[in-house]
Amino acid sequence: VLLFVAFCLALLRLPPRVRRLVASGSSFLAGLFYVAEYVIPWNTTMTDLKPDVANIAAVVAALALLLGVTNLCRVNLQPLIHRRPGAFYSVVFFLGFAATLVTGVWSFHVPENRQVGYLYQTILFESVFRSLGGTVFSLLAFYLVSAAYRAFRVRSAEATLMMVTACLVLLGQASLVTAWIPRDSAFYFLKVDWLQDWIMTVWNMAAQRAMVFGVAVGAIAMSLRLWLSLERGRFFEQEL
Amino acid sequence: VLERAGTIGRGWLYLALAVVVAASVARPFAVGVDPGTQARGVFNAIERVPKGRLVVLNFEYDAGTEGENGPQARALITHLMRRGIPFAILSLDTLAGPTFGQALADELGRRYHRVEGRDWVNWGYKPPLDATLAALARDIPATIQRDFRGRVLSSLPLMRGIRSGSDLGMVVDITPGSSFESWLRYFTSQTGVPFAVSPTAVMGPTVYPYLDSGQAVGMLMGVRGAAEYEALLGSSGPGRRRLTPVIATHILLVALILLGNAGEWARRRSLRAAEGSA
Repeated sequence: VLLFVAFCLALLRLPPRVRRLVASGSSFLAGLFYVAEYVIPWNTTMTDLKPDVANIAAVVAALALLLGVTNLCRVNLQPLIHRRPGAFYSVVFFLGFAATLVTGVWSFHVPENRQVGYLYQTILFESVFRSLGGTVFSLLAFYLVSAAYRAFRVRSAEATLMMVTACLVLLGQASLVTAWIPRDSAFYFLKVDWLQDWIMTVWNMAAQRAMVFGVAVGAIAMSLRLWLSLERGRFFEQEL
Repeated sequence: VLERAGTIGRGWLYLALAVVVAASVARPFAVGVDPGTQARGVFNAIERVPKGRLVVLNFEYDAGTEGENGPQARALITHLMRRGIPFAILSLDTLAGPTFGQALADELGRRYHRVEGRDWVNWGYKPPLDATLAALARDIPATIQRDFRGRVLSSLPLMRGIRSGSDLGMVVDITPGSSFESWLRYFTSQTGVPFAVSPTAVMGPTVYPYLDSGQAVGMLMGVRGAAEYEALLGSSGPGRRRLTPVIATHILLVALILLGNAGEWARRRSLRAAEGSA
């Protein structure tokens, strides 16, 4: 980690052109490593080095996490320092962050202290984090109800097809609507479970497969552009 | 009156949803659950896992989808603990995943007299997803090294004889996203280990091509999948309880779609009538 930080600091002191060259070269070498390891059919030194290279990726991911935490603290410090409106939420953030960090590390290293463990696991994680996460996610249901009511309107043949399909799939989830139709009945095909399953395994699967193929081709093109540093755009055009 | 049905305000829609969910949670109605092919596929695959073979449960969910993924995980752990099959808890992309797994294993372990280290192990959070999966397929102890509590993996009784991914009995990915595609690409294609997916209902449709190709042995889709699995286990848990508000909400959604269309139809009819009279 220290080596990586030292490398990043040294990189910042280099001229922009050299920095760009180092970044492009690193991307190319990393990509080449995995491609070569995969393409060569027999075990090589690269095969043995694969876990170590994976560790480098893990270290970079850990540093990205650290960067995220630093950024979050920096963003929340601004309203506090300048006493901007909404500073209260920053106070809540810092309190929550400190409480979770301290109790989490403490309960991990001193598991025999049951009070801290209770505070971390039951109060902070189960009661606060889980409830808040569930609440935020459940807001989607309200948007979904509003959007379904407004969007699924019979305006054209395609829209009608879409609406009928959506209703059948929704009713298939609520299977009790036609639960009274027995399995050996001649009208079993009218059971919404059966209709939903038919839509999912025939029409949905065909569409999903088509999308998977399309995405795969796109991913190959995108990977090549990233690997060879050909990608252009706002982020990639910024001076390193 | 019918014209107004097409222009109901958002507030009323939100209120209707809140009332329906609250009522169905407060007064759940009995729901008959008929386990489908996908849930049976997962159940039969776990039944076929030989005793002593380790099963990996990948907890890729967070608090946001605990409502759907939680009952699935509970049903799977219940099945494994009843059969006495050792399992490992793991997360490759979600920080809170192993904590959810640990809480469930602790609770159910007390009920079924299963002990951590002997009957289950928590491998913790091991990012990044793709690189770790590729390394896991080759060498599990070298990739994970230590468990959630810092113990060396090879020192744990349930890890004896486990070297590569091929030594595992099965993998189940409990996920609200598309992590199952990485498992298929980097792990099961290399090891041939039976693989099942436990997605949220909204992600379920994306799993079907892999079920058809046989790359996944089964799927527990959303709360309904959990309820079906509970029915196969012969138990009643949160899956069945949570199915009531899910069913009520789906019926409300269909009713609102039909109501909106009735209003739209009435509006168009009155517009045509007005144009005709003009």
